[in-house]
Order: sequence, then C-alpha cells, then structure tokens
Amino acid sequence: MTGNKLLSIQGLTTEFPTPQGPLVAVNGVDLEVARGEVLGIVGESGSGKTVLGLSAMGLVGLPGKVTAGRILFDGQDLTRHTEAQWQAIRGKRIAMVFQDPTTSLNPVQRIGAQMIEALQAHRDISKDAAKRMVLEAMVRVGINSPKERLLAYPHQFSGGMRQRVVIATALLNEPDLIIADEPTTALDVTVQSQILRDVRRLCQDTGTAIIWVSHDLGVVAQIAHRVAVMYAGRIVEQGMTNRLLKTPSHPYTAGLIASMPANAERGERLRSIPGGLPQLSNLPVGCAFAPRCPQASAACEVLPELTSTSAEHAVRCVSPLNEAA
Amino acid sequence: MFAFVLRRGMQSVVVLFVMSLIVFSMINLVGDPVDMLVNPESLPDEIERVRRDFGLDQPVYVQYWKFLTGALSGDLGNSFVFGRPALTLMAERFPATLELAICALIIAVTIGLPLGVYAGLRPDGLGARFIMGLSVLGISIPTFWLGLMMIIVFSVILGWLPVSGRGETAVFLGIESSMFTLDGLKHLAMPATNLALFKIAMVMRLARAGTNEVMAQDFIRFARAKGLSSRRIVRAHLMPNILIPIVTVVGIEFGTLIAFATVTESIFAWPGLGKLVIDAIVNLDRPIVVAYLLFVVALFLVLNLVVDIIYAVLDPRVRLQGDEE
Amino acid sequence: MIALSAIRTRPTSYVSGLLIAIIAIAAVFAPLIAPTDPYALATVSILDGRLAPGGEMLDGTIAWLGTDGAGRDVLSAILYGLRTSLTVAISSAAIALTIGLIVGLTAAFYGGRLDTILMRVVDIQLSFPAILVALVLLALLGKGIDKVIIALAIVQWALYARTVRAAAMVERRKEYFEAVTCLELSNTRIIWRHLLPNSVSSLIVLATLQTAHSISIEATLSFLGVGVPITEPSLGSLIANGFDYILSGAYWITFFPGAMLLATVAAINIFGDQLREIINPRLAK
Repeated sequence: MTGNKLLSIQGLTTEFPTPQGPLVAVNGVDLEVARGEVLGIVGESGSGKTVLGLSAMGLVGLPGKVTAGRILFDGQDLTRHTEAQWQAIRGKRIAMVFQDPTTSLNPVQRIGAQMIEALQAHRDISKDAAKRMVLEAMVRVGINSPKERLLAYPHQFSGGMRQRVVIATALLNEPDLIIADEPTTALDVTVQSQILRDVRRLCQDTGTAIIWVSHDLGVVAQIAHRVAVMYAGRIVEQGMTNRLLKTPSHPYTAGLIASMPANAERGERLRSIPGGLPQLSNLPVGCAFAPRCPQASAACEVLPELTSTSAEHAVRCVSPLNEAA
Repeated sequence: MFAFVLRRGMQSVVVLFVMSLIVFSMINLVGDPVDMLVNPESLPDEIERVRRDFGLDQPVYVQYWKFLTGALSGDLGNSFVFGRPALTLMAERFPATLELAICALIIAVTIGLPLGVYAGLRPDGLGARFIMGLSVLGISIPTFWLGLMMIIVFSVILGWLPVSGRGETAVFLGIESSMFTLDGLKHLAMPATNLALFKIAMVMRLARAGTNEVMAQDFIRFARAKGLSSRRIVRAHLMPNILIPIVTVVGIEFGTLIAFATVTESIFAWPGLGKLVIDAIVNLDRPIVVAYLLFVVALFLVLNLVVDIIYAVLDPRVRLQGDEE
Repeated sequence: MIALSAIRTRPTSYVSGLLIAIIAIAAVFAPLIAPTDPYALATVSILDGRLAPGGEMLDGTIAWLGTDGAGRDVLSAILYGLRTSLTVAISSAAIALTIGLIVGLTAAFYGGRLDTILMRVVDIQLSFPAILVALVLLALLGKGIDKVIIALAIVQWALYARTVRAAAMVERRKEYFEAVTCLELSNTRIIWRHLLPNSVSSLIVLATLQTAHSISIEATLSFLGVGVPITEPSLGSLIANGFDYILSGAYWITFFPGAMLLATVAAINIFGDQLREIINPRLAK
C-alpha cells in the first residue's frame, strides 16, 4: 500500500432494491483520503453522498447493500469484514457524526453514559478513567462545567451543545478518519462556523482525516483540502479546493458555485440550476446531468469516464469548461 | 417530583368523587335502593323499617352524603350471602387475585417482550411472521375457552396439573403466597398462564412496534457508529426507549388483569375477588357488587397514578416537566 | 372502489372475507342448514345424550360433532348459537356506532367546553376494561338478550365517539372548513356533508374490529352466566354448558363451539387488520 493513503474506495456501488428495480444510490465511486487530509464531498440531497458515508461505515440499513467495489482502509478491504470486525473499526478507527444533533443522542440516557460507552466499547478501561477522558474531551470541544453536564440528559442541551457532545464522542478514541455528514447544517450560522473551526483544530491535533459531507459548497470551502462533487450517485469532478472553486471543469460544479450566495452580485437574484435530480432507479443512459446542462450535446448520450486532467484533478464530462486551465 | 405526585393524587380524588356520584345515581336509577340493602325475600314492614333506618325517606342529597361518609369509613354494607361486611370479604379474597395477576404479568412480559423485540429486529424474517401470526391468534382466542381446553389437556388427559383451587400457601418474607410451595405453583400454573395469554400478545405487539420505531432512529445509528455490539445497543439503547410505552400500557393493563381474573377465577375455581364478585352477581348479593365497583374504580386511579410516576422516572423529559411545575 | 380491488389482490383479506361470508350465511340460514332443531323439545331426547362425534342419534341422524348432555346435536346448536352471537354483536355495534357518531361529531363541530366534557367522559369510560363495565351493567340490568345488547352498546360507544371526533377534527382544521361555515349552511348539513365522510373509513375498520371484540365479550359474559338466557344460547352459553362435562371426557361439547367462536373472531380480526392496511397503508407494519 502506498504510504499515506488511509482510505481508498474503488468502484463502490450501493443499491436499494425497489419494486421499480434497484435504486443505485452510490454508483461506482472512486475516492482516496490521505492521513490527516480533509476531503469535502458536495452534492444535492439525494446525490448519494450520505449513503456513501454510511457505506464506508458498514452502516447501510437493510434492504440497502453494497453490491460492488472495495473499501480499502489501511490496507484491509472492509467490504469483506464480518459484523464483529466492523464493530472493532467503527468508533475506534473510523468515526461518524450525523446531521441532526437532536436525534443523534439517546433521549433517555445521560450524556456521560453515552460517551463513556464509546470508550468502553473499544478498550478495557475503568469507569473512572473513562470518565476522566470524557471530561477532558468535553472541555476540548468547549463545553463549560463538564462535570455537571455529564449527568444531564440530551434534552437539557442546545442543538449546538449536543453536536459538540456528538463530535467529542466521535473523537474520543482518536480515530484515523471521521466521516461528518452535514454536522452543521441543522445549526445556526454562528454556531456552525465555531464548530467548523473546532473540528478542524481538533483533527489537526490528533492527525485525524476528515470526510466532510455537505450540500453547501461554502462550508466545504472553509474546511476541505480537496473536494469531490457528487451527482446522482457518481463523482463528477474532484480536485484541490482552490482550483475547483476558481476554475470548475464540470458544468454542474460551475452551477453550484454560481448559486452560492457569496458569489451573487448585490441586488441580483440567486442563480439556481434548473430542473431536479433524475430518478436513481431509472438513470439516463449517458451523462446524468445532461438534461439540466447548458452545454449538453449529442455526445452526452454516452456516459463519460472520470478522467484525470492533472495529478490532482479529474472530471466526468465530454466537454469540460476551462480547458485551458 | 413531590408536587407532581401531589397534583396527580388530587386529580384522582376528584375522579373518585365523581365516580361515587355515578355509582350512587346508578343504584338509585336502577330500581329501589332498598333492594340493595335488604334481602329480596324480606317482609314489607321490614322493608319499611330498613327504609327509615337507612334514611331512604330523606332527600337525595342527604342520602348521598350518608352513602359517601359510609363509604369513606369503610362501611359498604353486609353481604347477604355471608352476612359479613363486604369490604372485609374483599380484603380476604384480594391477595389470591393479586397473586394470580402478578404471576400472569410476569409470564406475559417474560414471554412477550423477547418475542416482540425479536420480531421487531428482523421484521421480514420467517420467525417474525410466525410470531405475529401467533399474536393475532392470541388476541382472537376466547380466553375462557382456552382455559377449558387447558384443563382437558393438562388435567384430564395428561393428569399433570390440578383442575381447581389455590393449593398450599407458605409465608416467605412476610408474604403469604402459593408461589412458595410446589403444590401452590402447580395450582397457579394454569390459571396464571391462561390469564397471561391475552397480555402476551399485547406485550409482543407493543414490543415489536416500539423496536421498529426505535431502531430507525438516528441515535441507534450513532450508537452503531460508536462501534457498540448489537447486544449492547439492544440493552442500553433499545430497551430503555421501548420500555417507556410498554410499562405505561402494562401498568394500566394490570387493572384489566384484575378484571379478567373474574373469568379465569371462575374457570379454575380460584378463591379470589373475581370469583367472589361473579358469585355475588349470580346470587344478587348487591353490597358486594357495589363494593367491588368502588374498589375497582379506586384501583384504576391508583394504578394510573403509579404508572405516571414510573413513566416519569423512566423518561427524563417528563420528569423535568414535572419538576418545573 | 380502490378498497375492493385491493382486497382482491391480498390473499389474506380474500380468505378471511370469504370465511366471514360463509359464517354469516350459515348463521342466517341456520334453520335450513342445521340437521336438527336443537330446541324443539319434541325431537330432542335425553337418550341421545353425550354421543361422541360421528355417532348416530335415535332418529338416524348422524351427529357429526357429537351431542350434548341433553341429547342436542352440537353442530345444530352451534349454527343456532352463531345466530344469537352475531345478532347481539351486530346490533350492539350499530347502536354504539350511532351514539358514537352523534357524540363524536357534536364534540368536533361545537368544540370548546362541550368537547372537553364529552371527551373527558369518553376518557374515563375507556380507562375501564370493557368486560368489567359490561359485567357490572348486567349485574344491575339483569339477564336477557336486550340487556346484553344495551350493555355492549354502552361499553363500545366511547371508542366510536373518540374515533369519529379525531377524524372530524382533522377535517375541521383544513382551510376550506372556515369557508364552509361562512356560507351559513345549516349546522346539520355541515356535519353530515363535510365532517362525516372523512371519518367513514376509520369507522369501517373500527366497527369490524369491534364486532369481533363484542362477540368475544358476549361469549365471556354468557359463559359466566350473566349474558344471554339459556333459552337462546349463544356460542358462549354452549361452551359453559359443556364445562360440566369436561372432567368426564366429553370434550366435544365445549371444543367445537369454542373452535367456531375462535374461527369467527379470528376471521373478523384478520379482515379488519387487512382493511386498516388497505385504507391507511401508513399504519401497516
């Protein structure tokens, strides 16, 4: 295995059977994450980004299933793992944070107990020692008077506080990778940027890599080294964050950037991409974005490959923009 | 917590008062209340004497006041059949019914809960379908008929268990019960199982529905993402959450167990409250019927209160609301 | 009718529906179908008493399900008993439904304090088990088919009232309702044309399941000896009748009426569950 590649996803496909035929939520995705790297995954809701994250945790709920591809994590193929092997990885080496902090915590269990069990699931540690570690972790994510908070129930916390608890829990075992599925979307803008900063700082301290999943290119731009753009279950473009934002190659990426509020002129209406996502159980034969694409031509009837344009950049389009760059 | 209990206690007293009004007017509406107080075969002048003695020639509100004060001091009249105070008779019979109901409840929960959780965890499995089919049968089967069939199989054909009666009792920890002797247990087995049957199906359905609902929650997914084992998730996260509704319903249903015990006790000649009241109905022993009615109303109010308290202990969200008020 | 075509595509609902139809026909035409008239004193002979299933009675009729202690053919007694059981269940359901409809719609339409009071009464009644309320009512009312029907109607009306009110409240909250009330239509017309139709589907399901429930309750009451009189036995009275012969091994006198009771109640329950899933698929599973 090449030195610092932590996670390498190859041709990953996740399907959900439906009466209308299989719904392909993740469609032949290739991804790599290096140690300590922050990768952003951007896409609309329904683009398959959440299912991609769940697949990498072995948490796709039935009847969904990973039907093809490999998930190489630190040299092991996770798709071949048994449930017991998965359990040893989950929370210990790969952690996950979900979108809605109000539902991520068990409402009838004390905060402390929910954090301590995350530690005790993976190491033989006394309750007191675990409690000390939990207290430290709570301080690190900025929770005041952690001792009392330990005995509180989730409903006594604000949304931002709960998400801090969730993040602290995810980082307890100093995982190699944390998959964050829109962890700030449900929060106020101010809280959002605080948490963004905190997560970035904490992961830098421990050398934890992050896959930050979001529909918001603006958020991803703040945190990610690299960005992968997903559309209808496929990656349509990936590259370094700055390059991608400045000179997007895929028309869809360009559309996303144009629709960001920060890029709108004062007084101008926000631009949006016309149309909606295609049905995942009934994808068009060629490029899935073609029906909404301003550049679409007859050539788009054939599905383009994800082709590298440089060492750090790849795009899935027959006529990419900004060719010169 | 104390304020919560006090408030609920006050409410119960109000409802009990209203119910005493209803019982009182029901007695007065249906025929001459003198019929309630004297043997139907009494001579006319004796009836007149009783009418005067009990103040039945006085205005209705005076009569109600006497009825109420009598009831409050524990005087609900003497049984025509036994010639002893109705309340004393009921107090003597109550332990046998309580014992039967508690055993039935234990059987219902120990069988129904695991089966329901199992069916809920694998909703599409063959086992789950079988279990749910059984529960439809359990709800439809006439309990009293099943009791008779049990007698035919276990007493008449196999000769394993006694047909009727309570059997030997022994005192353990200051409680006299037939649970503590082999003979007593043998007598208890069939009636308790029979009484439990209906509740098994109910607990099963509640447990399955609760499991379905809770397992789809984000906090279960987060618990899995922490790397917890399935067993730990079921024990620490699923159970506490599904137990809240189950405890509530089972608690309230404890009253219906006492009510249904009338049927079971009649079949197995169990010397409890139910048999007493059925005999009283058949023999037109009205003081016992009235006493039983008031007892049941009081029992249900107490049960509802107890259930609310347990509910509050189990669900921290409710507890907090109670504290704040 | 979406519901009808949905029934056809679901084997469970089809089978249970068919079973209900057969049972209903058997009950209605009992005098024509039954091999003997179990209550004609002239033909019933004590000499036929406790014949095992398949035995031949004095007049040559085969008693396929045996005879009871008095020499009545059990099969015939079941068919007649079914009539009584269904009559009681259906008429009590009809009365309870009517009362429940009136109370529920009134509560939903007028709202406010009237609604609060009515629903509080419903809550209190529903906090007591049906069997207990029926038992106490019969203790006060006395025996008789009419008394049983009244008792069962009183036991059930509250559930109908609550269901109707809940469904009507959903409709009431919709925006058009305000417009309708502004049109100065008569109150009765608003209630019938706008509030009632919305509750029909849930009422059908409830009425189905409640019929099964009241068949059970009636059987239990009759078994305990406080239900229908001996002269018009229901399935419950037949089972009670056989109770005396259990220890002597004449199982068929209790077994077959009970099995019939189970089949009837189970068929209606399953059919009701299926109806609920068809009408409200969201509740399924």
